Amino acid sequence: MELKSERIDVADAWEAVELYFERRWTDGLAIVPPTEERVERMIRYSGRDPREILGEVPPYYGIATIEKLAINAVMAGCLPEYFPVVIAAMEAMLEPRHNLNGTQCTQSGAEPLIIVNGPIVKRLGVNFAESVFGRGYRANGTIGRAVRLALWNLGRNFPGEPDRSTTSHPGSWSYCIAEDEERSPWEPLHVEKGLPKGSDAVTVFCCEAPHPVAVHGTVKQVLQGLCDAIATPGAANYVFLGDGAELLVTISPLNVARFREEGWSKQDVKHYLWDHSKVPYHRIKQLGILTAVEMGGSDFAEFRWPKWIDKSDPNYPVPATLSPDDVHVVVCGGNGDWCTVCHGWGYGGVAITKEIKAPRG
Amino acid sequence: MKVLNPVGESKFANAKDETAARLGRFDNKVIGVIDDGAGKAYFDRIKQLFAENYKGVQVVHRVKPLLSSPAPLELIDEIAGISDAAIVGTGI
Repeated sequence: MELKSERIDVADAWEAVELYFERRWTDGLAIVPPTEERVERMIRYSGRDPREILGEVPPYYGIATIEKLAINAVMAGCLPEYFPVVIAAMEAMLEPRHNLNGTQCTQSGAEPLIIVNGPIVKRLGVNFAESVFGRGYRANGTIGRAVRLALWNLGRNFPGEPDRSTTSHPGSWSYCIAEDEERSPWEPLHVEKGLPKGSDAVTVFCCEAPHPVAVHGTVKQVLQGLCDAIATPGAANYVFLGDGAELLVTISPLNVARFREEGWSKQDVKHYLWDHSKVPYHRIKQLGILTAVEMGGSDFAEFRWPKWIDKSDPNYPVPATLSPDDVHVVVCGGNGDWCTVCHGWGYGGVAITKEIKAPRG
Repeated sequence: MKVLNPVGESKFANAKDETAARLGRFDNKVIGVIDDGAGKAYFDRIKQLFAENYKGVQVVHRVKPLLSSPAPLELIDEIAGISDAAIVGTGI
């Protein structure tokens, strides 16, 4: 296998780790030194050509070849079996509709979340249960990390430089979960997005950190608790309401059992969440963010919001997204009452689903 | 041992880090504006300042299709082709 990347001589692994810090080839965490042997093993498993180009990663427009992606996957500590997931996630983010340039540079606190579906979840041990958004699982940690290192080294979106995120959130280190398809009463996310049952897929959605919500009881009690958590006037989705505003809600398996008992479909849930999480216009306007001078001084409610929102009515109920179709519902988490709300960026980073291609040969 | 460089090649890697020659004054110049869409009030004020402080300044104002994506190349070429200087808004 002929690899094109520059080789650097180092005395040992520790020197390699220090070198990558010095050259700003890692974002603050130590890495696994990407030797030729490890990178070749990663690529060989995928069956892809190291010269294959997936696209250019903004804002630096570094070319994402399979080789470069493999180097970053080794650095993250991925097993070769995880690499097809990493490739699919990068393919999803490079879709123009996802608007990777925006998500890499935005002032907002949204970061790309990877959601894995299909039989590959159990095969690779991607966590969907307790601590689903947290630590403890190599697959979650390293797949998420591989994607972040690739965005770092190919996109070069350094904080305070192209990346203007005011706060970011810890998902910028690694942000990867799986759906609990067995305990969900509904079709999985990737099937809802058009892929066949039984296929393996990733969905990448740029969103804020998960906001845990303690809810229990009837379906309406659970949903109302989630709606109250969604209805944050300062959430980006409300401020920048328009094409690209999307929302993710996760429901714990414990709570979702009641949905099955009461006969709620996923569409029923999306409609309810959308309809009951609206915020009166004046509560968004009073934040001052709609016309902030540092944002250019234009009124987002004028040039961005849909015209059907009646701004002459201070109590007009503004939804978080343009339609219930932009509310994504995923079942995951442990045996507890906690569900989560993850607001999107409002301006893009929309959920894109890609099939994970099986290793070739 | 040998380790590999993880940074992608980019067409901007060798971009020149130097600024164009300064105009000196803006009188009778064409100023191109690529507005990201959120900047109407901001650029209205800039146009006003140009009019108050310089003679014969023409401001050509264009808006990007999407605030947070780069301007289309055709738009950049248009502004580059007609302007003596350009002001470009960035996304949020």
